[in-house]
Amino acid sequence: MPSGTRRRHLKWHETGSVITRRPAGLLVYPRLSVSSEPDMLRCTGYGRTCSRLDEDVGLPGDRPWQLEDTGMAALVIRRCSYRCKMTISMRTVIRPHLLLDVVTGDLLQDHAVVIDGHRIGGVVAVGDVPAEGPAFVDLPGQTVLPGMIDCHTHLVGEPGGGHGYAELLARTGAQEALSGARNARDTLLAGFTSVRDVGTFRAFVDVALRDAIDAGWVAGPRMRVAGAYVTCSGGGGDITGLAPDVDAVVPYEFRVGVADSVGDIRRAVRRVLHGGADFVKLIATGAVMAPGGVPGAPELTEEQIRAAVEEASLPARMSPPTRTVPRASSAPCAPGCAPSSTARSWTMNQSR
Amino acid sequence: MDDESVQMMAAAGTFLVADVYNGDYIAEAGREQGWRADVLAKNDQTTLAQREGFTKCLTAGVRIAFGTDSGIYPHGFNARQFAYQVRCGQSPLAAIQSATIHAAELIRSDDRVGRIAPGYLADVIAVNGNPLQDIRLLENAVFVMKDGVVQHRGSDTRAAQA
Repeated sequence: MPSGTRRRHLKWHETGSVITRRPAGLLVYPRLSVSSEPDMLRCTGYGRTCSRLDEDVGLPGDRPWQLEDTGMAALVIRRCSYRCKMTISMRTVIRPHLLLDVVTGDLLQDHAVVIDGHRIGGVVAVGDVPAEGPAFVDLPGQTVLPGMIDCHTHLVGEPGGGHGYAELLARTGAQEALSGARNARDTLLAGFTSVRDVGTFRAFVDVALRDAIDAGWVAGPRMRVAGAYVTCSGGGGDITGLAPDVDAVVPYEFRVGVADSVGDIRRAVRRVLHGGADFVKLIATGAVMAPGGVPGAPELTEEQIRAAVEEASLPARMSPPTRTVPRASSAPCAPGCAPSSTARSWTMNQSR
Repeated sequence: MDDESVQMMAAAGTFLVADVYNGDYIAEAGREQGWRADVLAKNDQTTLAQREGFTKCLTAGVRIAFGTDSGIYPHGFNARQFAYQVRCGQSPLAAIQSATIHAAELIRSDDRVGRIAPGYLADVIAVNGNPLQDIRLLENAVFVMKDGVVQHRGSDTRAAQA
């Protein structure tokens, strides 16, 4: 199993046949061939498509097998009470007219991309691809390039926001999440296979969306998420523009990351990371979209920003036990913001 | 964005992620939909300055990663920003790199995504024609594979095969 792959149990079975819950259409009948590794049975697909694995895959033995998801295309079947596992991978060959090497800018003709399971196997000359075996995807007249990455998305919620943030209070968390599922699909179908999603007003809906995509429940790009905005009260990540007597009763989940004192900033950073965020988003200056925000005007002090960075840079003891939290940070700044507090690998996002 | 800021970003290796498409979307759709006047005014004040800042950063060698602030505009229009980045001075290749190898570096995933190379996750897309000649072709992905699974094959793909 490739490192970094998360295992998730899909289904137990009792009889020697496995029914997968994966969407129909792209699974491949494996041919069982046992590798020499003592605890690994490797099976390679042969290009046929099926929706069920049990139709002609007679799994050897009479013990229950356990099916694990290793990504969208590869499955691991682990035989329970044995330390053996079996990888069923699909081999696909993409034959485009041109292949863009995004590192060099070269446009390669007569080259094919070999896909092994959920990873790139290699780029080979078309003549070197075996004629039989893999599934072919022919893309005549087309140019192939890597899936694109958008480092500034907000997949959760309804697009827009130009009517002020009071509208956010007219929707439930469930509505926000389901809008997010639609937005994630639309983003993926536009060719964006990874995103850095830099915030949601309703905390941690992005974490749930990321995990639902990873689990294969909904279609969408691989997400890195912020969990919530770390912002000063009345800042670009707060719910602003409300009547003062309503403002006092905004539910907590909208203000998880709202913090003013240096100590509160530290606490907010810990909260978002503990809630499953992959990185911390600081709103450092006034936002275009926020009622009352002044673009370019500082909303966090250098001391607050330094405290946030320090807190986010602590060892992973703050993160939930099952996740490793990369400590990338982003400081959205409107034009004119002095980035004196930004450190290497920070981003200056010019935000709306 | 003043010169000192730009120099500090270049020296520190800070990425610029500038949503240079969004200003036009807000100006047009926001007015049609009757967005708040203060939001529209702030947008008008910042759109040009942001694009000038982008070009300034580009000239100074600041690293640039692609990011659009999707959610202000409808999701799926993300690739419209490439043409704006080219208009602000990037070559089509550099614009594509901002959304592949450079973006992967920013999100600390450059060992997994952003390239078509052995061992990388099988995230592969296709467009009709050559995007180095016409960057706007990226606005219509006709084939999308993520994690080795085909997510989308547009009708254009079928036409080309026929």
